[in-house]
Amino acid sequence: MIPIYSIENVTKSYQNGERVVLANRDISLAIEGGEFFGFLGPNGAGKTTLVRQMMSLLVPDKGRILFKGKDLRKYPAVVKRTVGYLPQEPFALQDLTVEQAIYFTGRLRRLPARKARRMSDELLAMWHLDPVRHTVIRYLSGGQRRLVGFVSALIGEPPVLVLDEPTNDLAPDVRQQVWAYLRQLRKQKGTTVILVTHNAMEAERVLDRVAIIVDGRVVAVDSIGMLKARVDSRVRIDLTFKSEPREYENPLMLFENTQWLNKKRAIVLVGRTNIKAEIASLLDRIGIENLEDFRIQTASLEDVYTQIVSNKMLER
Amino acid sequence: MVREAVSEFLILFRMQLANWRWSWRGMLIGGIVVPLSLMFFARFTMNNSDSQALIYIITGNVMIGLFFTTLSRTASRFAFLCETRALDYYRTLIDSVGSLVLATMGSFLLFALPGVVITLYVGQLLFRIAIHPHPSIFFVFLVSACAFASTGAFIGIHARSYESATLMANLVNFVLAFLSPVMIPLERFPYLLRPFAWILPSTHAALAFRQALSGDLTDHFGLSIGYLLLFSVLVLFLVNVHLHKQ
Repeated sequence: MIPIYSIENVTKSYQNGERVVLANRDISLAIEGGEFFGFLGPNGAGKTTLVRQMMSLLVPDKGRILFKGKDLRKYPAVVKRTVGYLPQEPFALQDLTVEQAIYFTGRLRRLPARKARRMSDELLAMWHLDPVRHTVIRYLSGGQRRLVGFVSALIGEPPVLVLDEPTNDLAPDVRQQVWAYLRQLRKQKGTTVILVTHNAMEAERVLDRVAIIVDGRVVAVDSIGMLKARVDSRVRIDLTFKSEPREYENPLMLFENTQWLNKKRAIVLVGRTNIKAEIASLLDRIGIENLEDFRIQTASLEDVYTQIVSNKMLER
Repeated sequence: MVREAVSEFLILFRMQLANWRWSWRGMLIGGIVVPLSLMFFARFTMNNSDSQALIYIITGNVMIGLFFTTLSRTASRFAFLCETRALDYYRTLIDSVGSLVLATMGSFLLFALPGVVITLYVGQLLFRIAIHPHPSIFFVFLVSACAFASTGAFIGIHARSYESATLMANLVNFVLAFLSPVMIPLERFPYLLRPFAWILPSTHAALAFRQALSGDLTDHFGLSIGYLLLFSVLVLFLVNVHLHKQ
C-alpha cells in the first residue's frame, strides 16, 4: 500500500538575518494510512518546518515529499482540503465569531452550505462551544482559541489531520477529550493523525510511532515500545514502604540495581527475562504487608526522549 | 472550475467583510475624508478657468483615494497575514492566493465606493463642472483596484514586517501619484520621465478613468484596460510563484 506521506531525503534551510539555518537535514521516513504518528523534539528542532513542507506551505531545498504517491513540488494542491491542519500559531481568524470561523472553514473545504452549517452546529455542541458561538475569537481565552482552531481542522472530516501542538493551553479535561476523540476518529473512520509535540508524556499515551527530531535530523523513528526497549530493557519497580526499614533488615540489599529516592521510597531495576519470578522473589523478601504502595513500570517515552536528546546534544 | 472559483471568492469575500466589524467606520470615513480634503485644498489654491485641470483634480483625488484603500491596505493586510502566519490557514484551504487578494480588495473597495461617489458629486458642485460618466466607469474602477491591490499583495508578502510593508506601500503610492499623470497631464512631465510613466498602472488607470468620466472613450481606453488586466494577472502570478517557492 502507498504510504500517506513519504518523506525522502528532505533538507530545508532558511535565512535568519545574515545566517543560513539548516532546519531539516536529510530527513527520510514514511507515514502509513490510519497511523497515529508523532514528531517529537525540543523547541527549534525543525518539526514545524517539516510539517509546513508536508502542507505544501514550504518547498524542500533538496529531496521530496510524496502525498499518496504524488510529489508535492509538482502537485502542491493535493493536500488542500484533504488534510486538516492546525498550525502552531494562534488561530488565524481572530476577528470572526466562533461559529463563523468553523462554518467558513467548512465552506472553504468545499462543503455545501447546509452541510457546513449542520457539521459546525454538531461540532459546537460536541466541544461545548455553544455558549461562545457568537463570541469574536480574539475575546476568547487562549485555551478556547486553541480549541476553535482544533475544531476548525476537524470540520468536513478530512482523512488526514496534521496537528501542531494541539493541546497547548487546553485544560486537562479538554485534553483528555481531544485524545479520546482522535482515537475514536481513527478507529471509526481510519483517520491518519500526525502530531507535532514536545510533550512526551502525552505522546506516549496516543501515538503508534514516533520520529524524534534533534537539530533538524531524525535521530530515531520507531514504535513507542521499540524506542523504550532501545534505551532500557529493564523494568522499574517503584516501592514505597510503610515505615523506614532499618539498616540490618533492609531487604533490598541483595538487589544490585536499587536506588533509594528517600528513606521510605526506592526503585529497583530488574531484567525482563524471568521477570515474573524476580518480582515474586522481591515481594516475598520485602513482605507485601510492609509496603504502602508499589508500581511496576517500563521506561517512559519521556525517559527515552530525554536520553536520546541529551546524547545528541552532547555529540554536537 | 469557474463555479468553484467564484464560490471560493464569495466565501473569502464574506470572511474579509466579517474581519472589518469594528474598523469599517474608520475605513469608510478615511475613504471619504482623504480625497475630499485634498480637493477642497485644490479648490482654494487654483482658479476655475481651466476645465481640463479641474478634471485632473477630481480624477486625481479619486485615484489617490483608491491607492490608499486598495494598495496600502492590501499591503498591510498581507504583511500582517504573513507575519502572523495567518496566511497559512488560507493557503491550506484555497486554490489560489489570487482569490484572497481579490476578496481582500473587494472588501476594501466596498468601503472606498462611497468616497468615490461623494468625491465626484462634491467635485462637480465645488468646481461647477458637469460630469457625464460612461457606465464603464465601474469597470475601470474595478480593474484599476485589481492592479493596485495585487501590487499591495506583492509588497505585503515580500516585506519583512508589517511596518516595512506600510513604509514600502507609502513609497509606491508616492511614485504612482506623482510620477504618472494622475494630477497633472503627461505633457507637463519632464521628457525623460514620460516613458517610465507608461509602465505604471496608475497612468492607465487615470487615463481610462478620465475618459469614462467624460463619457468620451477613445482607442486608448481599451489599451489601458487591457494593460491593467495584464498587469494584475502578472503580479498575481508573481505573488503565487513567490509563495510556492518559499
